[in-house]
Amino acid sequence: MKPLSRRQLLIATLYSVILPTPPVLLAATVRHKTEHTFAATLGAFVDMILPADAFSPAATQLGIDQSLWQLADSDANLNKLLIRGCGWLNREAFGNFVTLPDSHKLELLQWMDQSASPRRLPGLFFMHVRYHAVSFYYASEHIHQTLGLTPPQPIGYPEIGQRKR
Amino acid sequence: MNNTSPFDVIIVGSGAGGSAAAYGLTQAGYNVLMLEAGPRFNPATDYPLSNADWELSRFPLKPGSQGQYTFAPMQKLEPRWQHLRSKNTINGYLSNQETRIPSDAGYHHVRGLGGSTLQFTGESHRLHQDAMNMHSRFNVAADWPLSYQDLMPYYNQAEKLIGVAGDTHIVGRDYTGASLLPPHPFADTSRILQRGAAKLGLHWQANNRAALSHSYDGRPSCNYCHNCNRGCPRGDKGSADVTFIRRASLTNRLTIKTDLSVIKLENDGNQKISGVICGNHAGQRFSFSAPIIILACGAIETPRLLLNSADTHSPEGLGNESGQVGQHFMETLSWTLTGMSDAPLQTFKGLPADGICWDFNAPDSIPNIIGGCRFSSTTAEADLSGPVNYARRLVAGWGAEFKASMRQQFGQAVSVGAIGESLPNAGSFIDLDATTQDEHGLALAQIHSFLPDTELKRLEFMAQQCSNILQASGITEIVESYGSYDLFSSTHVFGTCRMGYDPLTSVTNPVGRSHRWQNLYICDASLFPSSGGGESPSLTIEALALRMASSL
Repeated sequence: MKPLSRRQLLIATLYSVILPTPPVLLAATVRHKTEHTFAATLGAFVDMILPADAFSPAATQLGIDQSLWQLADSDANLNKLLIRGCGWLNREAFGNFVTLPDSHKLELLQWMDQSASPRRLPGLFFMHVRYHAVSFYYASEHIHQTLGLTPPQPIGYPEIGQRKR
Repeated sequence: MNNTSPFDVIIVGSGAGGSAAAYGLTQAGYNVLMLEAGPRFNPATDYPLSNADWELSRFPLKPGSQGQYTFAPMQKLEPRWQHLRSKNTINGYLSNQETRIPSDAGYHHVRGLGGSTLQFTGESHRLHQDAMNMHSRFNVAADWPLSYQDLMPYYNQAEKLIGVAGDTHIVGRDYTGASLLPPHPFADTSRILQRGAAKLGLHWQANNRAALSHSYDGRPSCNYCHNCNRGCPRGDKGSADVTFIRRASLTNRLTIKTDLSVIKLENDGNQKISGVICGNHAGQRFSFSAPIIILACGAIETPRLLLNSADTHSPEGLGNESGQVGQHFMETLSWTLTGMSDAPLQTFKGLPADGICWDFNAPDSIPNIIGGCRFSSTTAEADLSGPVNYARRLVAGWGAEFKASMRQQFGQAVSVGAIGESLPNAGSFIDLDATTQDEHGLALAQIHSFLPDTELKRLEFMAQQCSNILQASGITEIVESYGSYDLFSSTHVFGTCRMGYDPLTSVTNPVGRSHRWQNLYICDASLFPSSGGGESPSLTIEALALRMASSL
């Protein structure tokens, strides 16, 4: 038995069931075209997860959606999930998730988060996109600035050393 | 093989044991060849803690820096131990499997010059004296064939060379002759936990750490960046590369060859190992010989090498005349509990594992359970050093409310962890996986791990005490628990080439020399007859290696 992370395990178990491989998606050119089709959909979705507020920008303003597609370039399973998930979002929106009123988007995301099974496409898509989107978002220098953070090195946190034992 | 080798000793492996042996031997005038399967790491360039996206990876991977191994199927999970399942706010249960599984790599190690000390936290623990006589006192594991007093001068030597900072008043240890650096100040996690522990009548004290509390030996003091496990770019952490290996190299008696795996030990058919056969990633083969061969590959790879070196003179594997090689495997029995404080804290700052409670460390200190444990601050080991992991694991939700929660809660996670004694049992051992080979065509090690009820009861105690400590610290919102019951996750592994007096029940003598092969030595945690009550093993491995080197 090879060691698997929970994430790998979920993907290995679930993709074969709910995301049978469409051979057409294996072609890079087709993939590129499909990504283009769903780029706006994914952008709108990650902006619902990480919207702009008074302190920090929305996910797409930091290119988080692009980072997800780039990650998917080297992860075929993630690529399939993004394409299938965006397709599902558009179908749920009767054509285009981007143009769905925000209140309806909110309802849809709430259902995906709280009610959808993580073993089915909507729940799996939500879980993985959230995971990667928040990872890229909170790894960005821009967000670190809003939190008053700098990388751990080279300065460290010398104020801790000034404390008394 | 020939007798014209320029080397007096070949050391296989460069972690805690191999590096300390190299230091001791080069100081004594021996010419040493150190063979390391992994690459060199450059602390200044390989540990990207200055980059904005530093949190997206842990200790860096390089080609060849991870060993390969497999796991035998592990035990079925049972409803009666459901409360020991790992879970967090975001994902619920971290494993959806019906059996215990490895967590990520499972065996967390580094192949590289310095070995796993490159990524270790740097706890520098001496064993509790009572934990060295588990068989005679409790009829479990085996007794150490040496006493604490035998090891004490080597503990002192290793601590001084590394620059250990900490406390010399620890129950169950004699620190006579020790010279430690001053302990580090507590960061927020330990400040909180110390107060909670005190309410329970527990003693929370400075942990002994291989991190400099002031500049020492040409190395700078720690700047409290909280990321020892991602590699220390400053060199203040006492990993083997900047301590033992650096000092050994200054003698000009140490030759280091990296990216070279030893794939077989050759013998003369009688009592001597005649040399080693190595291979590189390009498929080339090399051979080296020396009068003395020392294995320091750790408790997974050392038995694997011995078993893979079987030949007509040693058909069951070198040193395995009594079937002991690979037996008595002991792992890291651990529990980590994380809660979210209401108070504004910055627990992402400071020295990891700066505080510790030894009150349950003695082997008879847990009621009705054999084997001890310890508790320490583990916010860093839980990888809660930056906002990414808060967002991934602890702070639920999405949208504007989620972002506001992140701003409010970042820095307020407090983790307390426990590591306990791991007692050997018949279901835990290392053997060869007959179906899977490495790039050299050699069978991989297969890890068999089983946790009997006796282990799970100790784990249950550890989990309950972690909960008690957090609660007494005023933290009631639990956001993550992570433990050994459902997820195999070991940094410390032990026992697979046990030392002892009797060749029928051990692989080496009390110095670490093979009972049969008179020039073959072992100096890693595979020698341990028992694991101790949660002590991190690197300092004891180093002390054993220095002791062995002084005996040659």
